[in-house]
Amino acid sequence: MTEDLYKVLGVSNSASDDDIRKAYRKLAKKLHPDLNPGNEASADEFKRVSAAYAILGDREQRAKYDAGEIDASGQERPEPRYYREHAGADGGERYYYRSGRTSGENAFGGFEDLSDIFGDFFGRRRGPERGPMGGAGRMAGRDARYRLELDFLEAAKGGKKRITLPEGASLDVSVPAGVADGQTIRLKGKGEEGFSGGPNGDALIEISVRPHSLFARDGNDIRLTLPISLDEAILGAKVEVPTIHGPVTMKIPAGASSGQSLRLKGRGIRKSKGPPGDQYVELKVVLPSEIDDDLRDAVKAWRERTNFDPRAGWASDWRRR
Amino acid sequence: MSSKSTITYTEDDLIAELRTLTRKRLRAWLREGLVRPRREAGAALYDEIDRARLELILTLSDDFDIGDDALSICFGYIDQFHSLRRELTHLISVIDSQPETVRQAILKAWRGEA
Repeated sequence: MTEDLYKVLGVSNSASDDDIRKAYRKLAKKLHPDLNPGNEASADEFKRVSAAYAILGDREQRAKYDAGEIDASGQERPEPRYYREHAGADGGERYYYRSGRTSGENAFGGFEDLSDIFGDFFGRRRGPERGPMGGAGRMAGRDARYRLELDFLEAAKGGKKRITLPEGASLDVSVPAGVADGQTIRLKGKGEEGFSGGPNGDALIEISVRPHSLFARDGNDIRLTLPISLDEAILGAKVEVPTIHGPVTMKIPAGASSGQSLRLKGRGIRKSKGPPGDQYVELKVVLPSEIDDDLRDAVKAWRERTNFDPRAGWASDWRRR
Repeated sequence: MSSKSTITYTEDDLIAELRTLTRKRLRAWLREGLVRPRREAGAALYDEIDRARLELILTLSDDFDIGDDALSICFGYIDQFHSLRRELTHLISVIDSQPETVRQAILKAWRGEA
């Protein structure tokens, strides 16, 4: 059976080469299984169209066809291959997408990268330990997020805390010593259940730390300002100083000044790894709110006898600036 | 479907069988990484998938005037499309093999009801 090739392309037999090409393109866009992947049933139709275009799109062949020298069935053409039939089958992974590469040896086989694409869709909250999706269809459970507010000392020293979950269950959290405000603790496998034998998600616990009225953190060191009296500063003293591990006795040397910092070695944060931090105690001389006559007289006499200038060390040119 | 086939082609076979394919064009597409045949003992062997891919390249190039640079971009998308299609097919078969309660739960979540 021969059919009118012009009709196949939907053009008149006086159509220009350009019209034929346009008509073919229009049909190919619609019918070619690779160009219109959603359209399953068009392969046969496209075969007719492409056979017609093979003749009409070629000036010489078209002339022969118009002259009746060849007909639509006269042209032996190989069965067209459609890429989509191969791409999804075994062996198709050869051309699977691998981000950032289109050539070279490493472009072959991109399963893991592909799983990353899927991770964008499904894995936004999955833990980092998940395997590629490609395996047995297992899927990691989602991570669950909680907040835990700690006292300064709880965070500094670490210890056990229990979180009561919205569903009524509870979660025991081992707070590591020295956990910082804003840090997240990950509890492996304590998130939502995995899917089809996949691993559970993790519980992510965001820590917030309430400040302390006396202590401040500086990495693993603790800072504390210690008010001392005039006599303690002048004569020296032994005073009790709070640390995060309990009070200790500290010796203030005679003649101490405000701003001077004393170190209590090893009294800072003791993490499970690494050397412990220290506590730094900054001295601050505090005078009584009322100065009695004896003190005033004694200091007056002292001033007359001495010529002490605490700013003597400053460069002499600071005044001229 | 002719998807599973053990026929392999050499470069010469393809140039003989694909009307508008020339050695120069094929070499350029190999350099671009658009076609990636198997290599055995230094010789390139083209499987059906490579041939089908070349036919698509030729259709886009000859019939739609798509230049080589744009071809690379097109195939970037085509490869992503087929990769995702395969992963989705796999995902669907995985969901399909789940117990009915799990399937219903997924379906609900899919519809935004969960």
